Amino acid sequence: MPFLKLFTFAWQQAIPSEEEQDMRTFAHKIDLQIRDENEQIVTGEELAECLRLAGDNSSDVNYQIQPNQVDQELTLPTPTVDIIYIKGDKGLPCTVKFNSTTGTAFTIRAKGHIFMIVKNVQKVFVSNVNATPIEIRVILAPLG
Amino acid sequence: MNLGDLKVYKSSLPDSIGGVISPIQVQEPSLSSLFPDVKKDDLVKGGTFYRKAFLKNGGADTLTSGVIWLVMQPSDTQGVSIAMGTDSDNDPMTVENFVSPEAQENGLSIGTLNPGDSVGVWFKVVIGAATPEFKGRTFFQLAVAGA
Repeated sequence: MPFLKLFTFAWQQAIPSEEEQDMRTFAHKIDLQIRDENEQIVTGEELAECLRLAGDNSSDVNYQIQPNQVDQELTLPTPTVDIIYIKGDKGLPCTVKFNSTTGTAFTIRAKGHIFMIVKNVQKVFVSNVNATPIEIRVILAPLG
Repeated sequence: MNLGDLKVYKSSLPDSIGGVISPIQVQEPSLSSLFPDVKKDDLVKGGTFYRKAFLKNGGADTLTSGVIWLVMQPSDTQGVSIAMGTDSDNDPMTVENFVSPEAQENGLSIGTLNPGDSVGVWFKVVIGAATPEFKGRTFFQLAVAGA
């Protein structure tokens, strides 16, 4: 007897998580979209995937940036890194500038969390225009 | 063979992206747990994701001359293609010959499934850029035929 069965596979549009929603609201407020060096929008999921790929090679470093510092260079644990995830003090603006081996350099200004995927980063500079120190947490991951 | 004897199981890697057959059955009728939710950003700029699942004969009868094909695509801007997997392959980037057969005549052969047998199937989902947002679910249908 002939056999025929249909399987119906489905998916839905995701409801943004609270964090993603916060990020979007935040990005909208300061007219910033989180993009990589190719100007592609970076999602939290992509970041998580990159960090997963980086695995145990990632370094988690905390930095304190003193008040009124301009372009304070962060001492990176490795000469070049491929991924940077910066979690800043919520509410306090800071500026982060990257120089990479590919010659690209750009600056972002943000309050709170900054997600960045930047390849071949050699130098990172942070400016703190606030009257108080800011703490930032940086995850640096070479992709190998 | 009874319709209920043929079931879908996830593969063993996280998010069912490859590996061997897992013990996790994807529940019917809407097998929505196999695929991830599509984010708005994916709809805006497009994206591709893969899943591997197994068709398993959980009954006592044998399915012979099995063929699979796609009887319905999700939408004009979201496309699905399929390819045969091995018992344990785990990298969709090495899988060749993803196709979108629309009829049994040009479907992929899954051969014979004896009781307890399973066969791996890769799914490639391509979300086109500028895909409109949607409410509810979008879906496609995989047909399995045999004797």
